[in-house]
Amino acid sequence: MRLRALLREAWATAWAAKVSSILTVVVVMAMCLAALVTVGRSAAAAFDVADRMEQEGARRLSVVDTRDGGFVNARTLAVVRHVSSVESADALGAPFDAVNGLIGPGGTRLPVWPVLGEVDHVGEIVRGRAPRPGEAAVSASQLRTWGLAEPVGYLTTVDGMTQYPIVGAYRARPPFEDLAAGGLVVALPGAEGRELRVVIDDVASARSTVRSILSILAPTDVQGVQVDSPAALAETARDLNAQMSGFGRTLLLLILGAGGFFVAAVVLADVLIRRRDLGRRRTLGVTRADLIALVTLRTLITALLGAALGCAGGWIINQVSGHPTPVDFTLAIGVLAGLVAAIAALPPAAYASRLDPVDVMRTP
Amino acid sequence: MLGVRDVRFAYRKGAEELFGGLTHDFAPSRVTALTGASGRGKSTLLYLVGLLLTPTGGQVLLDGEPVSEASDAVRAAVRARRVGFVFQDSELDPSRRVIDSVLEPALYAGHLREDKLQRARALLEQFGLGHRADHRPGQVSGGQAQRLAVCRALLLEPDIVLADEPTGNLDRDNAALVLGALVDVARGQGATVVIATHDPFVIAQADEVVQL
Repeated sequence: MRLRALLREAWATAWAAKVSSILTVVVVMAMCLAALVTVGRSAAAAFDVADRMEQEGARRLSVVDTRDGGFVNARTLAVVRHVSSVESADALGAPFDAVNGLIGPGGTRLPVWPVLGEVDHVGEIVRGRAPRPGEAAVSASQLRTWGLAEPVGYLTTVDGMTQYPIVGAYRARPPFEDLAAGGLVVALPGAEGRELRVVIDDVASARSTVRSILSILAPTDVQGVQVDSPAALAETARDLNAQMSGFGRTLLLLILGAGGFFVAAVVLADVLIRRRDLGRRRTLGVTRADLIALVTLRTLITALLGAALGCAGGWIINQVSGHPTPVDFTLAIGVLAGLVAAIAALPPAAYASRLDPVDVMRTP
Repeated sequence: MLGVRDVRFAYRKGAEELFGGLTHDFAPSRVTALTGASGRGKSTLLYLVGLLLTPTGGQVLLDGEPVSEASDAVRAAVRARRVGFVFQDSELDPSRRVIDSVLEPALYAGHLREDKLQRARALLEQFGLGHRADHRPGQVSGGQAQRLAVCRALLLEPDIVLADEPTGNLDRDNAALVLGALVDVARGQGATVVIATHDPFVIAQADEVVQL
């Protein structure tokens, strides 16, 4: 048979056998609905966890010398930045208290962090200009606290020994949100930092990146180094994802298996009811292969209709109930359900092609 | 030329064997009636030469070639392209329109529906059924249904027409119409027509009678 004729016949027979077609539509629709409201939600949660792990906040790690020693300098910082799994790295010195020299020693104290390298990595300059070594920038919120419209004056240490001209105001960038209220000074060349903050490419590489960084920094006293890394979080997320995926796969297999069984039963019942129709076709010259294709295509057409309805319904239910399922996952479930239905139709179709037309035609 | 050589058939192992080594040629342009008492294998022989059954002994020959043991695909192709079947109960698909029932063999023979539509309409007109083209089989009488079955069998102008008790359920007028059509196909178009029947009216008009 030509493909066009085959498709036309498949559609015509699906339309003619309304009961079995409706049953197939309902079974496949139920398969898709069940898969989406159970496995779909697990998948949505797994995607959500993976998405969160991809966000910058989950990819941060810090290495701090808790004994107030300096263990990062411009050279080691540059080497750390060249580690393949490192997206960005910045170093801070030990913070100190300062006041705005224009307001005087009675003014509000603010914490100030020395920054090794460019301030731009730590905060976005929103007023004035980026400070150079020995200059300072204060946070925009600090500027408002002082009631100043523009960054003016100078930061002076509490003991009054050191002064830093204020040349800009900044808004802290991730992962430096904790510096949002305070000030930054650009460290003079040769200064050392005590804290390294790193954003890595992939949370899975956290453990190996920490090892690399520690080998680069080579701290003299390892006991005094505190490492805060997302490695444990990554492992927990990975384990959680593995458990959810395993559960989801098992549940999906059960749903598809049960659905496939019902589709096979419906198609077999239809073949048995329509033995005479199939016998007539065989007598008139349809080949076994064409008959198998006809029964399978007819099932596939109705299954795809059921899959479309089930996927649309499942997607809407998950959307409304606050567990939105990704569209590509929803479509994949629909395609899978259609394929399962088509595969389930093959054994009854093969049986139909093996029916003896003479036996069928001679049975009143 | 359609023929059988030393053909035997049993429906199952140990069952009574039919035909006892029948050898016969069914000549073109002739109507052959297969007749005999019930259970002698009239319809069975029809299905054997129609390649729906495989003989347990002997061969079915088509143009001198043994076709009874060919693959299912080959036998299906022969049925689709060279054989027209007429059943006792017309066997029309109730879900198809009359015109689509007539066109059904064209689908299995790989023809485009459009290519055979004109021929199907001409056949319906020839058999006085032109006005029924868009009806469903349930909306036509038994005699009309059997004439439709003849139209379906003749659509692809087959070399061979096999009819199983085609007049069995018809009154004399309709039987005459159907038989007339089959005789015309044999004598007018040179087809080999084989009819399994016990109807004396059919036997009387056959060119040859094979008594089983």
